[in-house]
Amino acid sequence: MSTATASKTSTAPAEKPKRPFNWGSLRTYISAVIILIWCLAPFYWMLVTAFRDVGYTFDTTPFFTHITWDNFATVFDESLGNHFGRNLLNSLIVGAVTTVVALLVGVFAAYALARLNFRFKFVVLGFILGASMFPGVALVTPLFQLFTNIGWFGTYQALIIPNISFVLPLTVYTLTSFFREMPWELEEAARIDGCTQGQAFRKVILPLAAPATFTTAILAFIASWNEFLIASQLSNDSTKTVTVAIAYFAGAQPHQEPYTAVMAAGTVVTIPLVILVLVFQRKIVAGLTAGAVK
Amino acid sequence: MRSAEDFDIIIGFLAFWGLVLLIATVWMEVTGQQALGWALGLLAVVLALWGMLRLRSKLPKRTTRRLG
Repeated sequence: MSTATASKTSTAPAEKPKRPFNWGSLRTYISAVIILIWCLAPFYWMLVTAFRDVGYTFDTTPFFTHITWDNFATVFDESLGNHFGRNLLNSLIVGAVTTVVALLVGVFAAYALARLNFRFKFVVLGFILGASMFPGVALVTPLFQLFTNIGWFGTYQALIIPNISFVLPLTVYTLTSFFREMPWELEEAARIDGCTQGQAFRKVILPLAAPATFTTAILAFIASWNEFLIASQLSNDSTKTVTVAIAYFAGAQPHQEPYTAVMAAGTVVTIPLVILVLVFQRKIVAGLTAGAVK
Repeated sequence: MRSAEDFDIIIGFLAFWGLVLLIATVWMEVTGQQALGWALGLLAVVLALWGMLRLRSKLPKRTTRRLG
């Protein structure tokens, strides 16, 4: 009996000293929740409306009610004049080509700006920064005239080339700051081992820059995917992208703005981006924090 | 020499907008439209650019190799 009591006493957990309540962490959690709600509320409302019966479009119940898949059927219903599948494909083509070209040019430009010594290289960087702030709306009319004159109106290249010019400054600037933080010693070690500068770049620097390249690629793709201004003026029915298609969406009822179908289309458009971010989440985080601490 | 790089970036930035304003001013002038606002904007940018170039030239010369 006494042995049992002794063993019980020895296994009883020792009382931990009470830590004072940390108000700082509570503030952090509350702030995080507020930011999360702030960011996700529009997306949540889009989902709620996308799944709501068209008769209850203006119902303000904040939960899923009168759930239906009809809105998604309307989105892909070609008899209403919507060619949403085609529009998705167009967005994918424009986004993918823009991203690939911007990355191809951007990686080399960023490497040159970060690693090579030449006169006025920071002036060039400032020039790129200025170009990135150029208002796109100022280009719409001249581009429309130019592309109409050379017969490019409604073609993919009319959408891709202006998109590249918008995305390229972002690409170059992001990659330049990343390349500048990479240790020179890696490249020098490769050169000592017999690599040329090009080989050192291709075999050492580029693989190490993969996280930043992925992050930049995703940012470029998202920017291109969401582009509306140029696409709304320079595309025709066969090259219309999703952002433009949603703006001119036709619903099942004539003379009625198809809000539920628009929300369903918005949901469909968001899915590829969400998948992209989820798949490459680790690389994005690594890319965004790369070079943050030396 | 970090500050020299920052100066160069600002100079490049101003040079870009100076070029944009120059083209806009010339175009407005040539096509007979009101160009005073554009010209004043160009003047402001050129003055800022001149000031930055003066400040840049007063910086000490770099003596070591730039890393990164």
